[in-house]
Amino acid sequence: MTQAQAGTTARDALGIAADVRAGRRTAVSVVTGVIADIEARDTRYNSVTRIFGPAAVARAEQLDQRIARGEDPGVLAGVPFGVKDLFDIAGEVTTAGSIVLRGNPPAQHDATVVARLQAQGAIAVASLNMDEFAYGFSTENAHTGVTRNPHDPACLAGGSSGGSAAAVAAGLMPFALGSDTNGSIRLPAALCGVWGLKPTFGRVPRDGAYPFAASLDVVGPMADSIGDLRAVFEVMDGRSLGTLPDVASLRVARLGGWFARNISADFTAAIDAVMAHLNSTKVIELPEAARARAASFLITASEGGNLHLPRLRQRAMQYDPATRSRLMAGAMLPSATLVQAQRFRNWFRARIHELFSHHDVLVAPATVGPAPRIDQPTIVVEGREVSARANLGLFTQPISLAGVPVLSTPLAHPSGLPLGLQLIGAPGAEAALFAVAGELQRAGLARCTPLTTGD
Amino acid sequence: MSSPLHDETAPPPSPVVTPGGDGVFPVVQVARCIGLTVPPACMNDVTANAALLQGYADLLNGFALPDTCEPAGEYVP
Repeated sequence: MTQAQAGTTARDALGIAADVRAGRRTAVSVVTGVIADIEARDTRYNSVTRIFGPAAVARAEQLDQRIARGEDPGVLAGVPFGVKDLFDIAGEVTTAGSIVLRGNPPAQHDATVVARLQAQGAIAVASLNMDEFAYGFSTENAHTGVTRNPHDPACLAGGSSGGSAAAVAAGLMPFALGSDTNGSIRLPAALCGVWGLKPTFGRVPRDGAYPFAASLDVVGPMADSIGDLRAVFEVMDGRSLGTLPDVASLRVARLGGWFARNISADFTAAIDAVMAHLNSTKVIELPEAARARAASFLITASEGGNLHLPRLRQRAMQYDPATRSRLMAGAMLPSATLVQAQRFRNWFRARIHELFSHHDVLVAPATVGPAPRIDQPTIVVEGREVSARANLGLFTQPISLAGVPVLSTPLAHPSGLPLGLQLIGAPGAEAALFAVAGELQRAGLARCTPLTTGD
Repeated sequence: MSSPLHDETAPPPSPVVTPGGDGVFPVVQVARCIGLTVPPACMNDVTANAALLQGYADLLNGFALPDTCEPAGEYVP
């Protein structure tokens, strides 16, 4: 089967794996090429924080030897990938975008999802930039610098998994891993125009991923095609999604109210086109979205603050100033507030389940608009200019509270910076999201267009 | 179920900066209760963030939950 027949390219993960498995390319040539590309081009984007050069090349050599012996190298044979700086990589210190943890001993094992991917032949080549301890939406890091949006380096990549999204958007690697507590996969994926998945809370193992707010944290992939995203997710999840449901059988609705305000007419029109293609005119309300966002905000602040409190007592000045003040304020939240937020979460869960008894996929914007400029990091909400770092999660945080799966879908649009949709499913219903996303890609309504070495 | 404070149009709460940390939210006192010393250089930012969180807490506390609504705990013995 040719790559065109399989719907893959020489640059995407499944295309690389097909080439390596068939002996058309070696894993060593792929990995050394990616490392050279990062060294040549990433100075523009600052998406990479560390390159695992010797370990990656050694793993690639072993993989080529396995192929030479006739062994099965795995479904992701020779595919290079990057990890947000909070995933354990054996032999490396996990720093979570900070200098605070740099004195820790190196990780003894790969994070579970990294180990699963490497067992299927994928090769971790780099760690990727993030907001310190994942506390932010902009990937502006006092220690490691700001990550720039490959589609316009004057603009933010979004965060906190901004390095992961930017590395894929720049065409440096076909997929990368991120984490999402309040939108940290969905936001940078949308702003950089790549595919991203926040799996159902609790579905994919987090072992070996440095925590932020355990009640909300999930880990997930970002990729350059919906096919790659699915392949990577299935490996991370340890099982196949099986046959996807027929899109025509799915009940799709659009979220109105909170999710229809503050977005431009162009963005609204793009969502209109998606809904028309999906034959849906239904618009529904997510009840108490503002309070759901508030609850997610408060749980995150409280759990994050508590996690870091021992270090904040001892060496607060090592923290990124923006992170430090948020964590300190979170640590001081009264227990009554946290308990109220967790009680509200249960109330909200019941409402979400009611919605999904009548619908299969909900559609909402991921952000209010395209990536803000780095020198003017603000967005407009209800007519007020507010901090992008704190408010980009306007449409993602309410969904985080529910813990449901969300597939961040890059809209295909004729001009301007990327915009993204959230395809939201019932708990455990990732297959429905992949079905709809695949249809939108097939119809030309969603598309990731990574840069190439010439860009 | 909604309270009089129900307001889906509510924008993000505005941070209220109170230099010295003794205004809306008693930063110095609360920090002392948890063994935390807020460096003077950080006080304004911490106070602003505490006030922002208080705004979200106020929004949440304005919603009446039934007594039977339990916290969403993850612990399973």
